Amino acid sequence: MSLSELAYAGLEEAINRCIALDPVATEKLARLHGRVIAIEIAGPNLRFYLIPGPAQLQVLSQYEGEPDCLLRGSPLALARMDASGEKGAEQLFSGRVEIEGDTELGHRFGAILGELDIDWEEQLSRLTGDVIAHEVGNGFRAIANFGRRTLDTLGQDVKEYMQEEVQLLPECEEIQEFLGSVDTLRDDVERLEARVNRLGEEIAAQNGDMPS
Amino acid sequence: MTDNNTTHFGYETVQTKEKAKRVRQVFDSVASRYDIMNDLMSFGVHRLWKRYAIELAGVRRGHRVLDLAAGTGDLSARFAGIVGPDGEVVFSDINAAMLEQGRQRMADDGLVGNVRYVQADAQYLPFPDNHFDCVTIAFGLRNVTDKQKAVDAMFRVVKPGGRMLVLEFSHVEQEPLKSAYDIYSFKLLPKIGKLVAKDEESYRYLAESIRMHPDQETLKEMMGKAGFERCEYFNLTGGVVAVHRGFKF
Repeated sequence: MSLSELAYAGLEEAINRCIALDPVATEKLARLHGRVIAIEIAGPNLRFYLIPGPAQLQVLSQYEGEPDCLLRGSPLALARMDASGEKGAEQLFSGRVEIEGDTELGHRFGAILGELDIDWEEQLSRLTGDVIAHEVGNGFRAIANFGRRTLDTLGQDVKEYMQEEVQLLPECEEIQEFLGSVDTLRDDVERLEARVNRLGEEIAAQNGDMPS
Repeated sequence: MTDNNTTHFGYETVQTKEKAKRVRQVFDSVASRYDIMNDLMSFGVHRLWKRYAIELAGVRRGHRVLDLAAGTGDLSARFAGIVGPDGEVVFSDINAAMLEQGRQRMADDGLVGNVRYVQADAQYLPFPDNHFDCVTIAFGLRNVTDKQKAVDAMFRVVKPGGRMLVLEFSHVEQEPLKSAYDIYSFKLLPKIGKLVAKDEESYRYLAESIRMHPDQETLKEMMGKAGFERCEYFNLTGGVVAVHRGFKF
Protein backbone atom coordinates (compact mmCIF):
# COMPACT_ATOMS: atom_id res chain seq x y z
CA MET A 1 0.00 0.00 0.00
CA SER A 2 1.60 3.22 -1.09
CA LEU A 3 0.91 6.89 -0.79
CA SER A 4 -0.66 6.84 -4.23
CA GLU A 5 -3.37 4.51 -2.86
CA LEU A 6 -4.25 7.24 -0.43
CA ALA A 7 -4.23 9.80 -3.23
CA TYR A 8 -6.55 7.68 -5.37
CA ALA A 9 -8.87 7.14 -2.40
CA GLY A 10 -8.90 10.89 -1.87
CA LEU A 11 -9.53 11.58 -5.54
CA GLU A 12 -12.38 9.09 -5.56
CA GLU A 13 -13.94 10.67 -2.48
CA ALA A 14 -13.65 14.17 -3.93
CA ILE A 15 -15.16 13.27 -7.31
CA ASN A 16 -18.01 11.39 -5.67
CA ARG A 17 -18.79 14.26 -3.32
CA CYS A 18 -19.10 16.56 -6.33
CA ILE A 19 -21.16 14.15 -8.37
CA ALA A 20 -23.50 13.51 -5.44
CA LEU A 21 -24.48 17.18 -5.54
CA ASP A 22 -25.84 16.85 -9.09
CA PRO A 23 -28.62 14.24 -9.28
CA VAL A 24 -28.69 14.34 -13.09
CA ALA A 25 -25.00 13.50 -13.35
CA THR A 26 -25.44 10.69 -10.83
CA GLU A 27 -28.16 9.20 -13.00
CA LYS A 28 -26.16 9.58 -16.20
CA LEU A 29 -23.11 7.94 -14.64
CA ALA A 30 -25.23 5.03 -13.42
CA ARG A 31 -26.04 4.33 -17.08
CA LEU A 32 -22.33 3.73 -17.72
CA HIS A 33 -22.29 1.07 -14.99
CA GLY A 34 -19.31 -1.25 -15.32
CA ARG A 35 -17.63 0.55 -18.25
CA VAL A 36 -13.95 1.20 -17.70
CA ILE A 37 -12.25 4.46 -18.63
CA ALA A 38 -8.48 4.55 -18.28
CA ILE A 39 -6.73 7.87 -17.85
CA GLU A 40 -3.04 8.06 -18.64
CA ILE A 41 -1.19 11.16 -17.61
CA ALA A 42 1.88 11.72 -19.71
CA GLY A 43 4.93 13.03 -17.88
CA PRO A 44 4.66 11.31 -14.51
CA ASN A 45 3.33 8.31 -16.46
CA LEU A 46 0.41 7.68 -14.20
CA ARG A 47 -2.41 5.42 -15.21
CA PHE A 48 -5.62 4.93 -13.35
CA TYR A 49 -9.07 3.62 -14.06
CA LEU A 50 -12.48 5.13 -13.58
CA ILE A 51 -15.46 2.81 -13.26
CA PRO A 52 -18.86 4.47 -12.98
CA GLY A 53 -21.71 2.72 -11.23
CA PRO A 54 -25.02 3.39 -9.53
CA ALA A 55 -23.48 3.92 -6.10
CA GLN A 56 -20.30 5.74 -6.92
CA LEU A 57 -17.53 6.32 -9.40
CA GLN A 58 -14.62 4.07 -8.48
CA VAL A 59 -11.05 5.16 -9.02
CA LEU A 60 -8.67 2.20 -9.17
CA SER A 61 -4.93 2.17 -9.71
CA GLN A 62 -5.03 -1.34 -11.17
CA TYR A 63 -7.42 -3.10 -13.49
CA GLU A 64 -6.47 -6.42 -15.01
CA GLY A 65 -8.76 -6.26 -18.03
CA GLU A 66 -8.65 -3.99 -21.07
CA PRO A 67 -10.30 -0.61 -20.50
CA ASP A 68 -13.17 0.30 -22.85
CA CYS A 69 -11.62 3.64 -23.50
CA LEU A 70 -8.23 5.22 -22.88
CA LEU A 71 -7.56 8.93 -22.63
CA ARG A 72 -3.94 9.96 -22.76
CA GLY A 73 -2.49 13.43 -22.45
CA SER A 74 -0.60 15.96 -20.39
CA PRO A 75 -2.22 16.93 -17.09
CA LEU A 76 -3.20 20.33 -18.47
CA ALA A 77 -4.66 19.00 -21.70
CA LEU A 78 -6.70 16.40 -19.81
CA ALA A 79 -7.94 19.00 -17.37
CA ARG A 80 -9.15 21.15 -20.26
CA MET A 81 -10.94 18.16 -21.75
CA ASP A 82 -13.63 18.14 -19.15
CA ALA A 83 -14.37 21.78 -19.81
CA SER A 84 -16.29 20.00 -22.63
CA GLY A 85 -17.85 21.77 -25.57
CA GLU A 86 -15.51 23.39 -28.06
CA LYS A 87 -12.50 23.39 -25.81
CA GLY A 88 -12.79 19.65 -25.16
CA ALA A 89 -13.02 18.92 -28.87
CA GLU A 90 -10.15 21.29 -29.56
CA GLN A 91 -7.88 19.35 -27.19
CA LEU A 92 -8.81 16.18 -28.98
CA PHE A 93 -8.45 17.40 -32.55
CA SER A 94 -5.23 19.25 -31.88
CA GLY A 95 -3.77 15.91 -30.76
CA ARG A 96 -3.02 17.09 -27.25
CA VAL A 97 -5.30 14.38 -25.91
CA GLU A 98 -5.30 10.93 -27.47
CA ILE A 99 -8.29 8.70 -27.23
CA GLU A 100 -8.32 4.97 -27.86
CA GLY A 101 -11.10 2.41 -27.85
CA ASP A 102 -14.71 3.45 -27.46
CA THR A 103 -14.48 7.16 -28.28
CA GLU A 104 -18.17 7.73 -27.76
CA LEU A 105 -17.85 6.48 -24.18
CA GLY A 106 -14.96 8.87 -23.62
CA HIS A 107 -17.02 11.78 -24.91
CA ARG A 108 -20.07 10.86 -22.90
CA PHE A 109 -18.04 10.50 -19.75
CA GLY A 110 -16.18 13.78 -20.31
CA ALA A 111 -19.46 15.55 -21.01
CA ILE A 112 -21.03 14.31 -17.76
CA LEU A 113 -18.13 15.61 -15.71
CA GLY A 114 -17.94 18.82 -17.75
CA GLU A 115 -21.62 19.54 -17.34
CA LEU A 116 -21.74 18.98 -13.59
CA ASP A 117 -24.35 21.45 -12.50
CA ILE A 118 -24.33 21.81 -8.78
CA ASP A 119 -27.32 23.58 -7.31
CA TRP A 120 -25.65 25.32 -4.40
CA GLU A 121 -28.89 26.96 -3.35
CA GLU A 122 -30.53 23.55 -2.92
CA GLN A 123 -27.55 22.35 -0.88
CA LEU A 124 -27.67 25.44 1.29
CA SER A 125 -31.43 25.10 1.80
CA ARG A 126 -30.86 21.84 3.64
CA LEU A 127 -29.01 23.79 6.29
CA THR A 128 -30.94 27.03 6.35
CA GLY A 129 -34.36 26.33 4.87
CA ASP A 130 -35.68 27.47 1.48
CA VAL A 131 -36.36 31.15 2.18
CA ILE A 132 -32.93 32.05 3.47
CA ALA A 133 -31.21 29.92 0.85
CA HIS A 134 -33.16 31.67 -1.92
CA GLU A 135 -32.31 35.10 -0.54
CA VAL A 136 -28.65 34.17 -0.29
CA GLY A 137 -28.86 32.70 -3.81
CA ASN A 138 -30.37 35.96 -5.13
CA GLY A 139 -27.61 37.90 -3.46
CA PHE A 140 -24.94 35.76 -5.08
CA ARG A 141 -26.64 35.91 -8.47
CA ALA A 142 -26.80 39.70 -8.26
CA ILE A 143 -23.14 39.87 -7.36
CA ALA A 144 -22.24 37.44 -10.13
CA ASN A 145 -24.26 39.42 -12.70
CA PHE A 146 -22.75 42.68 -11.59
CA GLY A 147 -19.30 41.10 -11.74
CA ARG A 148 -19.89 39.69 -15.21
CA ARG A 149 -21.29 43.00 -16.55
CA THR A 150 -18.48 44.97 -15.02
CA LEU A 151 -15.87 42.59 -16.42
CA ASP A 152 -17.46 42.69 -19.87
CA THR A 153 -17.56 46.47 -19.92
CA LEU A 154 -14.05 46.73 -18.53
CA GLY A 155 -12.77 44.26 -21.10
CA GLN A 156 -14.43 46.20 -23.93
CA ASP A 157 -13.08 49.52 -22.69
CA VAL A 158 -9.55 48.23 -22.26
CA LYS A 159 -9.61 46.65 -25.71
CA GLU A 160 -10.79 49.87 -27.35
CA TYR A 161 -8.26 51.94 -25.48
CA MET A 162 -5.35 49.67 -26.43
CA GLN A 163 -6.38 49.39 -30.07
CA GLU A 164 -7.75 52.83 -30.93
CA GLU A 165 -6.16 55.27 -28.52
CA VAL A 166 -2.62 54.10 -27.87
CA GLN A 167 -2.53 51.63 -30.81
CA LEU A 168 -0.58 49.08 -28.78
CA LEU A 169 -2.73 46.16 -29.85
CA PRO A 170 -3.74 45.29 -33.41
CA GLU A 171 -7.32 44.87 -34.60
CA CYS A 172 -8.67 41.43 -35.31
CA GLU A 173 -8.46 42.02 -39.11
CA GLU A 174 -4.84 43.13 -38.82
CA ILE A 175 -3.99 39.93 -36.97
CA GLN A 176 -5.70 37.82 -39.63
CA GLU A 177 -3.77 39.65 -42.35
CA PHE A 178 -0.54 39.19 -40.47
CA LEU A 179 -1.19 35.48 -39.91
CA GLY A 180 -2.04 35.15 -43.65
CA SER A 181 1.23 36.80 -44.58
CA VAL A 182 3.12 34.48 -42.25
CA ASP A 183 1.53 31.50 -43.96
CA THR A 184 2.41 32.84 -47.42
CA LEU A 185 5.96 33.54 -46.34
CA ARG A 186 6.29 30.08 -44.87
CA ASP A 187 5.03 28.49 -48.08
CA ASP A 188 7.39 30.65 -50.14
CA VAL A 189 10.33 29.63 -47.99
CA GLU A 190 9.39 25.97 -48.36
CA ARG A 191 9.15 26.36 -52.15
CA LEU A 192 12.51 28.12 -52.21
CA GLU A 193 14.01 25.37 -50.07
CA ALA A 194 12.71 22.72 -52.46
CA ARG A 195 14.12 24.66 -55.40
CA VAL A 196 17.54 25.09 -53.79
CA ASN A 197 17.61 21.38 -53.01
CA ARG A 198 16.71 20.53 -56.59
CA LEU A 199 19.38 22.86 -57.94
CA GLY A 200 21.87 21.39 -55.48
CA GLU A 201 21.07 17.90 -56.71
CA GLU A 202 21.44 18.99 -60.34
CA ILE A 203 24.83 20.56 -59.62
CA ALA A 204 25.92 17.46 -57.77
CA ALA A 205 24.81 15.32 -60.70
CA GLN A 206 26.74 17.52 -63.19
CA ASN A 207 29.86 17.40 -61.04
CA GLY A 208 29.48 13.64 -60.87
CA ASP A 209 29.35 13.45 -64.70
CA MET A 210 32.46 15.54 -65.12
CA PRO A 211 35.68 13.59 -65.14
CA SER A 212 37.85 14.64 -62.22
CA MET B 1 -9.40 -26.12 16.11
CA THR B 2 -7.48 -27.39 19.09
CA ASP B 3 -8.72 -30.95 19.03
CA ASN B 4 -11.79 -32.76 17.77
CA ASN B 5 -14.31 -31.25 20.13
CA THR B 6 -13.03 -27.87 21.19
CA THR B 7 -11.96 -24.69 19.49
CA HIS B 8 -11.03 -21.11 20.32
CA PHE B 9 -13.41 -18.32 21.07
CA GLY B 10 -10.95 -15.52 21.62
CA TYR B 11 -8.73 -16.78 24.44
CA GLU B 12 -11.43 -19.08 25.74
CA THR B 13 -11.65 -22.70 24.72
CA VAL B 14 -15.20 -23.66 23.83
CA GLN B 15 -17.02 -26.65 22.41
CA THR B 16 -16.89 -26.69 18.62
CA LYS B 17 -20.64 -26.52 18.27
CA GLU B 18 -20.72 -23.59 20.70
CA LYS B 19 -18.48 -21.30 18.67
CA ALA B 20 -20.90 -20.46 15.87
CA LYS B 21 -23.51 -19.53 18.45
CA ARG B 22 -21.10 -17.31 20.38
CA VAL B 23 -19.91 -15.58 17.21
CA ARG B 24 -23.51 -15.01 16.20
CA GLN B 25 -24.22 -13.33 19.55
CA VAL B 26 -21.26 -11.02 18.99
CA PHE B 27 -22.42 -9.93 15.56
CA ASP B 28 -26.09 -9.68 16.47
CA SER B 29 -24.91 -7.27 19.10
CA VAL B 30 -22.69 -5.10 16.91
CA ALA B 31 -24.50 -5.25 13.53
CA SER B 32 -26.18 -1.85 13.64
CA ARG B 33 -23.02 0.01 14.58
CA TYR B 34 -20.56 -2.11 12.69
CA ASP B 35 -19.64 0.55 10.11
CA ILE B 36 -19.02 3.30 12.64
CA MET B 37 -16.98 0.94 14.77
CA ASN B 38 -14.82 -0.08 11.83
CA ASP B 39 -14.03 3.55 11.09
CA LEU B 40 -13.30 4.30 14.71
CA MET B 41 -11.20 1.24 15.40
CA SER B 42 -9.03 1.47 12.33
CA PHE B 43 -9.03 5.27 12.08
CA GLY B 44 -10.66 4.86 8.70
CA VAL B 45 -7.74 2.85 7.35
CA HIS B 46 -9.98 -0.19 6.78
CA ARG B 47 -11.25 1.61 3.68
CA LEU B 48 -7.73 1.60 2.24
CA TRP B 49 -7.19 -2.06 3.15
CA LYS B 50 -10.40 -2.93 1.33
CA ARG B 51 -9.44 -0.84 -1.72
CA TYR B 52 -6.16 -2.71 -1.89
CA ALA B 53 -7.93 -6.06 -1.68
CA ILE B 54 -10.31 -5.02 -4.48
CA GLU B 55 -7.38 -4.26 -6.76
CA LEU B 56 -5.72 -7.59 -5.99
CA ALA B 57 -9.00 -9.40 -6.71
CA GLY B 58 -8.64 -8.57 -10.41
CA VAL B 59 -12.39 -8.66 -10.89
CA ARG B 60 -13.63 -7.52 -14.30
CA ARG B 61 -16.88 -6.80 -16.04
CA GLY B 62 -19.10 -9.86 -16.33
CA HIS B 63 -17.40 -11.77 -13.51
CA ARG B 64 -19.24 -13.76 -10.87
CA VAL B 65 -17.96 -12.95 -7.39
CA LEU B 66 -18.70 -14.49 -4.01
CA ASP B 67 -18.17 -12.18 -1.06
CA LEU B 68 -18.20 -14.24 2.13
CA ALA B 69 -18.71 -12.68 5.54
CA ALA B 70 -19.76 -9.65 3.50
CA GLY B 71 -20.82 -7.78 6.63
CA THR B 72 -22.15 -4.38 5.70
CA GLY B 73 -21.05 -4.90 2.13
CA ASP B 74 -18.01 -2.67 1.63
CA LEU B 75 -16.41 -5.15 -0.79
CA SER B 76 -19.68 -6.26 -2.38
CA ALA B 77 -20.65 -2.69 -3.18
CA ARG B 78 -17.40 -2.16 -5.05
CA PHE B 79 -17.59 -5.51 -6.82
CA ALA B 80 -21.18 -4.80 -7.88
CA GLY B 81 -19.92 -1.59 -9.48
CA ILE B 82 -17.06 -3.30 -11.29
CA VAL B 83 -18.80 -6.42 -12.64
CA GLY B 84 -21.49 -4.27 -14.24
CA PRO B 85 -25.02 -5.30 -15.15
CA ASP B 86 -23.79 -8.53 -16.81
CA GLY B 87 -21.86 -9.77 -13.79
CA GLU B 88 -23.08 -11.10 -10.50
CA VAL B 89 -22.11 -10.58 -6.90
CA VAL B 90 -23.25 -13.04 -4.26
CA PHE B 91 -23.39 -11.25 -0.95
CA SER B 92 -23.12 -13.85 1.77
CA ASP B 93 -22.95 -13.76 5.54
CA ILE B 94 -23.70 -16.34 8.18
CA ASN B 95 -25.38 -13.75 10.35
CA ALA B 96 -28.94 -12.73 9.47
CA ALA B 97 -28.67 -9.35 11.21
CA MET B 98 -25.50 -8.44 9.29
CA LEU B 99 -27.01 -9.70 6.02
CA GLU B 100 -30.08 -7.53 6.52
CA GLN B 101 -27.95 -4.47 7.29
CA GLY B 102 -25.90 -5.11 4.19
CA ARG B 103 -28.90 -5.67 1.96
CA GLN B 104 -30.46 -2.39 3.08
CA ARG B 105 -27.26 -0.50 2.51
CA MET B 106 -26.79 -1.97 -0.99
CA ALA B 107 -30.37 -1.18 -1.96
CA ASP B 108 -30.04 2.37 -0.62
CA ASP B 109 -26.98 2.80 -2.83
CA GLY B 110 -28.95 1.68 -5.87
CA LEU B 111 -27.00 -1.57 -6.12
CA VAL B 112 -29.72 -3.92 -7.26
CA GLY B 113 -30.08 -6.31 -10.15
CA ASN B 114 -26.64 -7.85 -10.09
CA VAL B 115 -26.48 -8.73 -6.39
CA ARG B 116 -27.88 -11.86 -4.73
CA TYR B 117 -28.07 -12.51 -1.01
CA VAL B 118 -27.32 -15.82 0.60
CA GLN B 119 -27.14 -16.61 4.29
CA ALA B 120 -24.48 -19.29 4.40
CA ASP B 121 -21.79 -20.81 6.57
CA ALA B 122 -18.39 -20.43 4.88
CA GLN B 123 -17.56 -24.05 5.79
CA TYR B 124 -20.55 -25.43 3.89
CA LEU B 125 -21.03 -23.35 0.78
CA PRO B 126 -24.34 -24.01 -1.01
CA PHE B 127 -22.92 -23.43 -4.50
CA PRO B 128 -21.89 -25.71 -7.36
CA ASP B 129 -18.23 -26.59 -7.98
CA ASN B 130 -16.18 -24.25 -10.19
CA HIS B 131 -18.77 -21.51 -10.06
CA PHE B 132 -17.07 -18.20 -9.19
CA ASP B 133 -14.33 -16.12 -10.81
CA CYS B 134 -13.36 -14.78 -7.42
CA VAL B 135 -14.17 -15.60 -3.81
CA THR B 136 -13.32 -13.16 -1.05
CA ILE B 137 -13.63 -13.21 2.69
CA ALA B 138 -12.78 -9.98 4.46
CA PHE B 139 -12.45 -9.92 8.23
CA GLY B 140 -14.48 -13.09 8.49
CA LEU B 141 -12.23 -16.14 8.39
CA ARG B 142 -11.17 -15.43 11.98
CA ASN B 143 -14.70 -16.17 13.17
CA VAL B 144 -15.16 -19.41 11.28
CA THR B 145 -15.06 -22.51 13.47
CA ASP B 146 -12.97 -24.70 11.18
CA LYS B 147 -10.88 -22.40 9.00
CA GLN B 148 -9.35 -25.17 6.89
CA LYS B 149 -12.81 -26.43 6.04
CA ALA B 150 -13.79 -22.94 4.89
CA VAL B 151 -10.68 -22.58 2.73
CA ASP B 152 -11.37 -26.02 1.21
CA ALA B 153 -14.95 -25.00 0.46
CA MET B 154 -13.75 -21.80 -1.19
CA PHE B 155 -11.39 -23.81 -3.36
CA ARG B 156 -14.24 -26.03 -4.45
CA VAL B 157 -16.49 -23.19 -5.65
CA VAL B 158 -13.77 -21.19 -7.46
CA LYS B 159 -13.50 -21.77 -11.22
CA PRO B 160 -10.19 -22.93 -12.63
CA GLY B 161 -8.37 -19.69 -13.43
CA GLY B 162 -10.18 -17.97 -10.60
CA ARG B 163 -8.76 -16.79 -7.34
CA MET B 164 -9.52 -16.41 -3.66
CA LEU B 165 -8.66 -13.55 -1.41
CA VAL B 166 -8.53 -13.39 2.37
CA LEU B 167 -8.36 -9.98 3.99
CA GLU B 168 -7.83 -10.48 7.67
CA PHE B 169 -6.12 -9.12 10.74
CA SER B 170 -2.78 -10.73 11.05
CA HIS B 171 0.38 -10.72 13.10
CA VAL B 172 2.54 -7.70 13.68
CA GLU B 173 6.14 -8.75 14.16
CA GLN B 174 8.08 -5.54 14.32
CA GLU B 175 8.64 -3.52 17.47
CA PRO B 176 7.62 -0.87 18.45
CA LEU B 177 4.45 -1.23 16.36
CA LYS B 178 3.76 -4.58 18.05
CA SER B 179 3.69 -3.14 21.57
CA ALA B 180 1.64 -0.14 20.54
CA TYR B 181 -0.79 -2.41 18.75
CA ASP B 182 -1.12 -4.69 21.81
CA ILE B 183 -1.88 -1.80 24.10
CA TYR B 184 -4.33 -0.39 21.62
CA SER B 185 -6.23 -3.59 21.00
CA PHE B 186 -6.39 -4.91 24.56
CA LYS B 187 -6.76 -1.71 26.55
CA LEU B 188 -8.30 0.85 24.23
CA LEU B 189 -10.40 -1.17 21.83
CA PRO B 190 -12.79 -2.70 24.41
CA LYS B 191 -13.30 0.78 25.87
CA ILE B 192 -14.20 2.23 22.48
CA GLY B 193 -16.52 -0.74 22.00
CA LYS B 194 -18.16 0.00 25.31
CA LEU B 195 -18.65 3.66 24.46
CA VAL B 196 -19.89 3.36 20.90
CA ALA B 197 -21.43 -0.07 20.51
CA LYS B 198 -22.18 -0.39 24.25
CA ASP B 199 -20.62 -3.81 24.14
CA GLU B 200 -17.20 -4.24 25.71
CA GLU B 201 -17.22 -8.03 25.57
CA SER B 202 -17.69 -8.25 21.82
CA TYR B 203 -14.70 -6.04 21.19
CA ARG B 204 -12.59 -7.91 23.69
CA TYR B 205 -13.45 -11.01 21.69
CA LEU B 206 -12.37 -9.16 18.53
CA ALA B 207 -8.91 -8.38 19.95
CA GLU B 208 -8.44 -11.90 21.29
CA SER B 209 -9.64 -13.62 18.15
CA ILE B 210 -7.11 -11.62 16.13
CA ARG B 211 -4.30 -13.00 18.29
CA MET B 212 -5.57 -16.56 17.92
CA HIS B 213 -5.87 -16.30 14.13
CA PRO B 214 -3.20 -18.16 12.15
CA ASP B 215 -0.25 -15.98 11.18
CA GLN B 216 0.66 -15.07 7.60
CA GLU B 217 2.72 -18.17 6.83
CA THR B 218 0.27 -20.59 8.46
CA LEU B 219 -2.67 -19.24 6.50
CA LYS B 220 -0.64 -19.41 3.31
CA GLU B 221 0.09 -23.07 4.03
CA MET B 222 -3.59 -23.72 4.67
CA MET B 223 -4.43 -22.28 1.26
CA GLY B 224 -1.80 -24.46 -0.38
CA LYS B 225 -3.21 -27.48 1.41
CA ALA B 226 -6.68 -26.71 0.02
CA GLY B 227 -5.21 -26.75 -3.50
CA PHE B 228 -4.60 -23.09 -4.23
CA GLU B 229 -1.47 -22.28 -6.18
CA ARG B 230 0.81 -19.26 -6.43
CA CYS B 231 -0.27 -18.35 -2.90
CA GLU B 232 1.17 -15.12 -1.57
CA TYR B 233 0.37 -12.52 1.01
CA PHE B 234 0.74 -8.76 1.28
CA ASN B 235 1.22 -7.18 4.69
CA LEU B 236 -0.62 -3.91 5.14
CA THR B 237 0.07 -1.36 7.86
CA GLY B 238 3.01 -3.35 9.17
CA GLY B 239 1.10 -6.63 9.27
CA VAL B 240 -1.88 -5.43 11.29
CA VAL B 241 -3.76 -6.72 8.31
CA ALA B 242 -2.69 -9.08 5.53
CA VAL B 243 -4.22 -9.92 2.17
CA HIS B 244 -3.69 -13.53 1.11
CA ARG B 245 -4.23 -14.45 -2.49
CA GLY B 246 -4.25 -17.84 -4.20
CA PHE B 247 -5.18 -19.09 -7.66
CA LYS B 248 -6.92 -22.25 -8.74
CA PHE B 249 -5.58 -23.66 -11.99
